[in-house]
Amino acid sequence: MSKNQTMYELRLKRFEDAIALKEPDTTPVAPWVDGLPYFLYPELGVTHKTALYDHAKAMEAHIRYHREFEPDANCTNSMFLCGKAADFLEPTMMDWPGRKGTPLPDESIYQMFEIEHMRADEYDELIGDYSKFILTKYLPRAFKGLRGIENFRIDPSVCIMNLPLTPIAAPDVQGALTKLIEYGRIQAQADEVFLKFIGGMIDLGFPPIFAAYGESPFDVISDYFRGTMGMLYDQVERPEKIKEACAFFADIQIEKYVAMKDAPLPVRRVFFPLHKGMDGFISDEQYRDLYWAPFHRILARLIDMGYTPIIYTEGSYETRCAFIREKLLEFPPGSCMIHFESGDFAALKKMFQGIACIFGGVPMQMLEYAEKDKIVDRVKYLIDNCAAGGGYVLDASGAIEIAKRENIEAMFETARTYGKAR
Amino acid sequence: MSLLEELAQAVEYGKTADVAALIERGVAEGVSAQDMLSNGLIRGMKGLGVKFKNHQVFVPEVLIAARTLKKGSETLKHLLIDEKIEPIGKAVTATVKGDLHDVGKNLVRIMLEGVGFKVIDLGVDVSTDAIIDSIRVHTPDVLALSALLNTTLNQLANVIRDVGDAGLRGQVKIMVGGAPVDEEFAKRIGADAYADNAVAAAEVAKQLLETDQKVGGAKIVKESDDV
Repeated sequence: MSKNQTMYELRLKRFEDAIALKEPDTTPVAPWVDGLPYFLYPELGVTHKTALYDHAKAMEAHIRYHREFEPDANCTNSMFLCGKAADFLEPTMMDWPGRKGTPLPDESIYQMFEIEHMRADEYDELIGDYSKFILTKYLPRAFKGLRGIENFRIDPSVCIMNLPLTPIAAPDVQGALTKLIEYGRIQAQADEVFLKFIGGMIDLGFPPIFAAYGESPFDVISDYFRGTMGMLYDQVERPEKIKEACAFFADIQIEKYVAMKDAPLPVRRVFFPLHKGMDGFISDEQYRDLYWAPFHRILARLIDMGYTPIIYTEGSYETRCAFIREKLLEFPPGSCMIHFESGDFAALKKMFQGIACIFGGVPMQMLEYAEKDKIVDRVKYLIDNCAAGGGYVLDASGAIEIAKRENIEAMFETARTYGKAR
Repeated sequence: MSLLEELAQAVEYGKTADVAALIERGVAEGVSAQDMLSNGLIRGMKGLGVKFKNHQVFVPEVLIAARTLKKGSETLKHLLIDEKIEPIGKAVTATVKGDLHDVGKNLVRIMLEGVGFKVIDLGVDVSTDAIIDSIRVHTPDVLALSALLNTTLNQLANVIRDVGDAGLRGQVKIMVGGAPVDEEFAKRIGADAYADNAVAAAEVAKQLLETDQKVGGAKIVKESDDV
């Protein structure tokens, strides 16, 4: 076995032990990174624009970061979108560096917009005929490049030979379909590169942190269909519709995961960033019924298939913790990982002890602005309070963009020395 | 229950149609527009702010109430002009250069309007020059700046510095907010105030109107009982 293979197995075991609530040989360190490698190695000339348009070049920065700091998992967050495909389809839900006419500098990460791609009175249409709604309403609204697809029809009024397909001959429909095919070709090329990157990192000894990803159904509706503002109004004015749509989207997502039941993946983990469930934005009751209940069905199915869901909470989650703890108790111990952006990590560890592996704990602002000593103290605090008995992975509070080099060094070094010396 | 209490309750429960009917009744009964605004509509919003702080209601309910209050204020507008009633203050809102996110900033705008501010919203990706121009043109009491990304966080500091360099720092109170912003950061960059949510932001802005202290990290308020 090569050194890289040995390290791969060691890191994988370290991580899996932490998830399984067994004490690993040392505390795993696996910070999510966005633009950090680009920031650390400016001589490579890699930016977020590079990551979108020149994947091979951007990989150099990630490989260099992994070789230098040796994290226990490949937590690269910014390498899996394709600028060329986006240029082609023109999604309205985001802007990105490199898009013609963008105000964003090359160094900026892509930015999401909150657009109502579905009106408040269209829930029934969505649920009643999902394919039709997506094809004729959602796609042309969400992708400027696909306008024309809204006229796609199979006309059953005259069914001789090919006549029902006649609407497809319309130039705007033709244009949209041609674009879809070309998009598929571009995306397939990009996927090949992304898979090569993941495989390359595995060869270098770094297991991916997850192998698939999803979102809670509530977030899917809020992020991509109704927008945050629309969803906030809907929570008061049509909660039953949200509930129906969430149940519907949970079913769709479960179907996707069932299809990958026996897929030969390097790790059996699915990543779920939770966007819109933070304190204050939704009542406890609605969090339970609208947000968590359909998400819980997804978690249960994944756990049943031997997958580990990675629940990545965003924003303050203080008022949700006790509820989530109760819900995770319904699963076998060590079934999930859960990341917190903020909070008292000693208390969180106690709360989820014997239930789920927690991760996070190093504030990103601290990495960017604090003195090195503060980082050392913070990492020691986290290891002292969270590492015992496994169930903890050291990570920042979010995906790191910018940080002082010495602080990143201090985070890894302290975790490696202090984490082992416990 | 008095008409003003009914108005307050209608705002709290987001009953726009009731507000319209109550204002009509108030006008018929000779209740002043100022009274209906301050002791009816805004009082309802205040009550909801307390409930928000106590986790009895959440952003959606506050948003619906703010929308109701805004519609009520619009109905009252011509009467308020007749009575020469001014907004409690002027605020400029903006998401800083390089940042295109607007949800948080929009929530703050709605809440500021809800407590009686006139708001000039500059939108997203706003340059420092545009912000400085708006201070000169609109002479706001409060400048509320938002940044959602770690990479645009420093732009908040740049704006505060440049507003100072332009000699305008003494004319406007600056408050900052957004996901990566915290109280410590706000202090470090010399903001007058920080709020961690839109409801608190409206209260903080009102408090800024009441303090004489104009410059530099003076009044960092996180939450309050009274919105």
